[in-house]
Amino acid sequence: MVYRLLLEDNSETTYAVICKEVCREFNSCCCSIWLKEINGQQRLAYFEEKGSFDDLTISNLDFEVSKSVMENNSLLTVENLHTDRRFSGVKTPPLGAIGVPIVARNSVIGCIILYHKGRDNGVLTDGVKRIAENLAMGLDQVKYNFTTARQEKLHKELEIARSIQQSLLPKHMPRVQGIRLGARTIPAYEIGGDYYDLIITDDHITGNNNLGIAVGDVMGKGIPAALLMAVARTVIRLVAKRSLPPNEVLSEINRSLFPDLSSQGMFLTMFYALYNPPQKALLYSTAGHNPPLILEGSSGKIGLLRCRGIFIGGRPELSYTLHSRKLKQGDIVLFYTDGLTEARNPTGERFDIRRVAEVLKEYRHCDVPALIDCLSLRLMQFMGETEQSDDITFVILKIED
Amino acid sequence: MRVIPLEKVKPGMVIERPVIGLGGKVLLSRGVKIDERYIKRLKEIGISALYIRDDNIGKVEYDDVVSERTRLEVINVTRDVMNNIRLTSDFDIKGVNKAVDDLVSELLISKDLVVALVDMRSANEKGFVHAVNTTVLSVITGMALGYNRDRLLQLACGALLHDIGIIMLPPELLRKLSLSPEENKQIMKHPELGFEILRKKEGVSLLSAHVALQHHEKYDGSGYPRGLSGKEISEFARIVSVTAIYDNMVGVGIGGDGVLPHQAIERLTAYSGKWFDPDILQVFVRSIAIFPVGITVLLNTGETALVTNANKKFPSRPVVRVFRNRAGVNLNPPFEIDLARNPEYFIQKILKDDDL
Ligand SMILES: [Fe+2]
Repeated sequence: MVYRLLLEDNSETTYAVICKEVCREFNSCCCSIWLKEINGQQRLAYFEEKGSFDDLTISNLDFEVSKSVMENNSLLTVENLHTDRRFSGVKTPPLGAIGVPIVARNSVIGCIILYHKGRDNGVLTDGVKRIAENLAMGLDQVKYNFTTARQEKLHKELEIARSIQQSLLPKHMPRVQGIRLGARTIPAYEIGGDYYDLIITDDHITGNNNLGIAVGDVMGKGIPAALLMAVARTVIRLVAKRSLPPNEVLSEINRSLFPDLSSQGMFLTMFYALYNPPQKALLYSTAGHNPPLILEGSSGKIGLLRCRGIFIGGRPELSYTLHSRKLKQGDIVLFYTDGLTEARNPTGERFDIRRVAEVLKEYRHCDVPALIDCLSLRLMQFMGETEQSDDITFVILKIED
Repeated sequence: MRVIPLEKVKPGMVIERPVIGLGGKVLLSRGVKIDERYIKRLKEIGISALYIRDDNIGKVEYDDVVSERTRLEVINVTRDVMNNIRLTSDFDIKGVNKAVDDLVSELLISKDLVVALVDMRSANEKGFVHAVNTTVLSVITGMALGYNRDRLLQLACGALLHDIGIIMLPPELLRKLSLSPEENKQIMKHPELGFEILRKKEGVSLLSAHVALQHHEKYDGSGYPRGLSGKEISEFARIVSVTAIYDNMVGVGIGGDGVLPHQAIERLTAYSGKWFDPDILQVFVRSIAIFPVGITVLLNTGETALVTNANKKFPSRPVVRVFRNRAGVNLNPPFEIDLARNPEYFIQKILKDDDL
């Protein structure tokens, strides 16, 4: 059935018909097909028996279910959503669900979800799996019809590189006593070399766990930058774990990466800081990276963590200066890449460090998540319709009150 | 349910949130279909925007922190108090206490909710609605500060009556657009006038009365009438000086001269430590929804969505209903994303009606 329909017309309308037909064939109440995108996901088709705009229970739940199927890249079978722990926190009807990832060229490109009222003795699951296989080729095609003209120039390989790169960034903020952490990356269409990492280090001497904060930027774009970032990340993690002072961390990273960097004619800038919770002390060094902003909670005064150092890959042996700063209650430190300050509005003005400082000051009373959302909002509203030419990354550390 | 500025409201649109009119009465209730006559009337009384049902989005069920019934009760009591003071220089404290009690009780029950509706008040009702909103915001701040019920009641009473002294001023003065230095001086008497009324009134705590006296004092000592600074100003007054100004900023509503909560936060914070106690301001800023229910936003994924519910714990991460996909096609039906559960999504732009 699916084959026949798709041969005739591989369009959104066809997928809507498929959802409806699938429901009829399996005597089920709802079916949806989703596409996985670089950022987020897109619902391609949806059918719900007796669906209405005034009761979105299944439609809302379907977002969470499809997301989990595509994220885990595995078959999902739930006998009763209402009693299933995975979806607690979402309103769930007493329905069963079957979710199957749709895979093309070894990567997940979407999924199909079926909601049913009865029990499944395996017939339903097998049926949905078969349909998912049949859909793969057509869906792969649709995905590229669906993307906007601007995205079309992105090659499939680049998209894979991008998704690998995103997967290398920390997924959860580590919990560290006395501070709040938050981070955001806003990737540009063209792949860039932004990088950040938050590393809990083992300090064998004091027995304390410190927090390493690395923010870096590979100079260059495209796959080489992404590859280099991936290599750098592994090296940085290994070195940082040893809880060395930041200047030594940077020297060590330079020593390890210099041969590869110089042979490719590439380099990277990096800021590395080590936060010690009991002392509320921040040790830091820079390798040619933008100096972070620091806002004093007590006075609202704002300044830069100024320091100097040569970028990584500049020379085989480099030494860096170590700086330190005691932090106090309410202090906020913002680490970032130049994508943030170099972002432009339609008239070509830069967002600039001064605007960043202003926004930071205006939202200093907010919690870290809200601070990050408000900074993103102000930045994106400033940029308006301008195309983002570089990755934007920022990390915020706030000393709790 | 979308916030639509009045000039964009067209006959046939359906009201989703009641409009309070003259005298605290419901002017248009939920479900009413708007016609030309209503639009004209709304313009006359100075309503700037409406919550309108949108068939492409569906019904939005939102629990306000205070029920419509209690809100009306408090508005009515406030109006009675003001009228009675004007006529007899006295008022019925029992009515106030009952209304304040009901309000605080409801707020304590709905402690997981957050103020997330933009208020569309009419110009004529501004004073009463402002008093009630200031009270709601103050009590919520008091709750965040860990006040017990008795303190909340005292705070609420003070907040509700903080501008009561205005009544004692000649009415023509309040209508003037520009004031001479002499007239300004007269206006600046309202804290003391209010205090005199409340101080003598049996059943009003002195702590509540001090809110009226001190709500124009500033944290750095540049306020009036006494030029008190820092902790010399009562904590209640330090709260109300924040909430009253905040409500004045956001209260007029989108489409009018009001600002959105995040813009109000920017402006208030500019005066942190100058006009406002930074600690109080911080507690307040964290208890309000940054993206109010009913506004339309663009997500970082390119989808268009309506804010349908607020999240008390994460004020910048509401539930949004995606009704248009990134290709610009309306979704049938829409679906919701809880931003608190999905940190990879964020709001990149607040859309105006013209952008839609
Ligand atoms: Fe006042």
